[in-house]
Amino acid sequence: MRRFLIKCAVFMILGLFYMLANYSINRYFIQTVPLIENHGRVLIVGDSHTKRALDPEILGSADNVSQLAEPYYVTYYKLRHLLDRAENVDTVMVLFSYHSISSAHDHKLRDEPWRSQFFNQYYMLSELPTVTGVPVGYDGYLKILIRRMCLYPSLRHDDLLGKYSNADEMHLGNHEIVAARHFLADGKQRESSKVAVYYLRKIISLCRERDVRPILVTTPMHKDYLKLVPPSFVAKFEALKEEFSAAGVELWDDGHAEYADREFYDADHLNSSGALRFSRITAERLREIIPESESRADKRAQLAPAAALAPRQP
Amino acid sequence: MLFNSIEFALFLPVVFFLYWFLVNRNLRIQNLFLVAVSYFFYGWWDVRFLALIAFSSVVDYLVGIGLGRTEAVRTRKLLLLTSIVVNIGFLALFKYFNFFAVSFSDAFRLFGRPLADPVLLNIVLPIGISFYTFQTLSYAIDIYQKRLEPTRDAIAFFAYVSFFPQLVAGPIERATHLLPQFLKKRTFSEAAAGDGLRQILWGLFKKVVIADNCAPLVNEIFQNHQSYGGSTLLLGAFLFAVQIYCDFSGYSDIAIGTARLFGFSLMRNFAFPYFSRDIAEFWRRWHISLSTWFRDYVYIPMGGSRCSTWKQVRNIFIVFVVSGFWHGANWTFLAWGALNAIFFLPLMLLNRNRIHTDTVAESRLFPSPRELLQMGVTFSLTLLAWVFFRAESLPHAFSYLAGIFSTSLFSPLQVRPSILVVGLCSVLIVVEWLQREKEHALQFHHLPVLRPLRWGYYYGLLFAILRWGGEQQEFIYFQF
Repeated sequence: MRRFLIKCAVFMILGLFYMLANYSINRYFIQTVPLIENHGRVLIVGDSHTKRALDPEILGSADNVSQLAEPYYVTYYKLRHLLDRAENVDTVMVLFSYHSISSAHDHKLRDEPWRSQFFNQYYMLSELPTVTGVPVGYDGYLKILIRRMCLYPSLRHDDLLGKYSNADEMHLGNHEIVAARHFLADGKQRESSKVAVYYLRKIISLCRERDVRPILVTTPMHKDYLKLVPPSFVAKFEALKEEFSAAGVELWDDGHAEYADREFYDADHLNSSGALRFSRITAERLREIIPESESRADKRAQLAPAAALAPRQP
Repeated sequence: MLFNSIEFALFLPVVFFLYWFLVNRNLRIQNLFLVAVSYFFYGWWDVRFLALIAFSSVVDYLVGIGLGRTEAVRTRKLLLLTSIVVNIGFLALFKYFNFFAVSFSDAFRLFGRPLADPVLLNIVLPIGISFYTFQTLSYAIDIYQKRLEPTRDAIAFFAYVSFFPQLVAGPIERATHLLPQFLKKRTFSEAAAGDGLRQILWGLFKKVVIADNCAPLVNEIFQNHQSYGGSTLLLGAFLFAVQIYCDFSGYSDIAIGTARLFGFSLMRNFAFPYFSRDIAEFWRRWHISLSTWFRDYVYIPMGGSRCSTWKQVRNIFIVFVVSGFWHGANWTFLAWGALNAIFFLPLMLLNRNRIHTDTVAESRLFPSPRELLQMGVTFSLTLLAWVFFRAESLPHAFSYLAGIFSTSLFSPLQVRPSILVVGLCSVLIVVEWLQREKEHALQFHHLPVLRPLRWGYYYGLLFAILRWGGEQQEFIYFQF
């Protein structure tokens, strides 16, 4: 028995040592290797709404890193990770819509298929399994963490960087399905999510702590879909708008803006024609509020050159 | 608790240490510990299942005691009947009730006299019920036939019925083989435990890497079979053959390997069946514990092959069809069983069903062209039968087969398996072919292979499991 246990232990220790070494190397790369994609001053975060609606090519100095179905608690940690590395960012556009404050997002780190998607995209965010108030499927997280971090060294870990994508298609007529997905659970109306609101506030605070201007953006939605948004969600949304507005946060609510049917991909997403128009409008607004030469890095360099160069706490 | 889960990866070493270091001084306590951890393992799915297995165990334990006490034929028959009624009754209720209700109603509708909608039970099928009921049944039948003495040790009996490595998907152990192992002190064997770990590793590789990576392709092709040409459908059937073999034999390997860690020897369940030269050999190598169960408790009592030709034909059909029905309450499983009976019958009638009892190409690296052809034909027949096994319904199966046997059989593939899947299937075939004379594909202890090479191989398999393990899926045979 002793010999058997010693052999097993040696086998395990060698394996664990190999995995730990890979984990450390990958963690080092995550901290030090610059992000390839990011180069703009404006960072767009959110879910499929912003992913489909805001074309960074039209906006100018911008990067759209929105990912499908992304809840605020994921956005918060992702944004923190990105702001630590993207010195040039001075404006963050955050999706703000009725469905983003729905409790439909609260179990996305526990239930498939979202769980696998998010852990695959965001395994490098070590805080993710400790999100406040959100149940987490730790076994799924561990599996993906081992797969992506412990088996071999990899220079690139930027799966979290989403990008703008769209198509010139129209699939209207799914209003009820989409509204049910956002606002109903087993036929009953969902509540608004305390977790979502908590992390939305944290996103705003984070931006301010980092000298970054937060802008809450509501992308256009089809009128038939808007009719199906429960009044309680509308009320909560308006109350939050007032709260943020009072706190001086920029709000661009185009949820009810007049867009033709042919500009929608489906009930709550613009297609490429709609995105073109919406991006142009947004680009105009951005030009009005962001002076050309004052990026965050520039400002910091002017104020305290030494501090700007010093490494910041993650 | 799934074998391919993190929970089991934690459960197994903890149980191993407690078993050998804490409760190893007293056999009864060690057995009691096995009962406790087995019930914990089984209850992890649903604690309600525990009542059923406990009841089944109590009934068969008491039936065994009763059979041991009396020689009166009538009483003995009554006791055996009690065991059969309880065990088969559970199966009928949980597994077959809805099937019979719907089929009965459909039959009336077919004859133009529709009944009201049948009453259906909305109950969960307890995992592994078909496996442990057959195990307890065999205990009662063996005592009735005086092949086995009843045990008075209730703890050992409960441990035999619920032994966690083989509880939910076999191998279906006979009391004559497994129960005596609970009645004597187990000693730790380094060689057996080491080989057990290797068998677990190979089983995990087959299940997590090969079967789980084939599963999405198989599901896609079978679910949307009407969109695909014959060549793609054939690919789907081939991948399902690989999937079900790796899934089930992988489970059996893990079960047997786990049992060996605890000093138990379970019966072999698979012996490289796809290297069979005829269907009879295939059935001696596929799900051996079930095939031999039906042989011993159904086929032979009916007269086996020592009776008139038509009775032999009848016996073969009954055994194969019942075996198919054991797998699930669906006409597809009955058709699968019947089709295998049709494949088997010519061999039996020509008395050629036992000509391949050795290993193919024994002591040779390559098979002869004749052996290759025989294996190809046998594999093709099993492929045909697997279509029924995997299909949702008979029309689905027939439509799928019609799709295969069409001109589109020679069209380009519409679903291309990834290099990973092709590579994995190739690795499986090569490794299992090279090791076909062994008990399992990682049995090395008679080979003079250097430890660094062996360990490198094990690390490679572990790497593959962690890197390419597919989405965690339940073992297919759990549903049976």
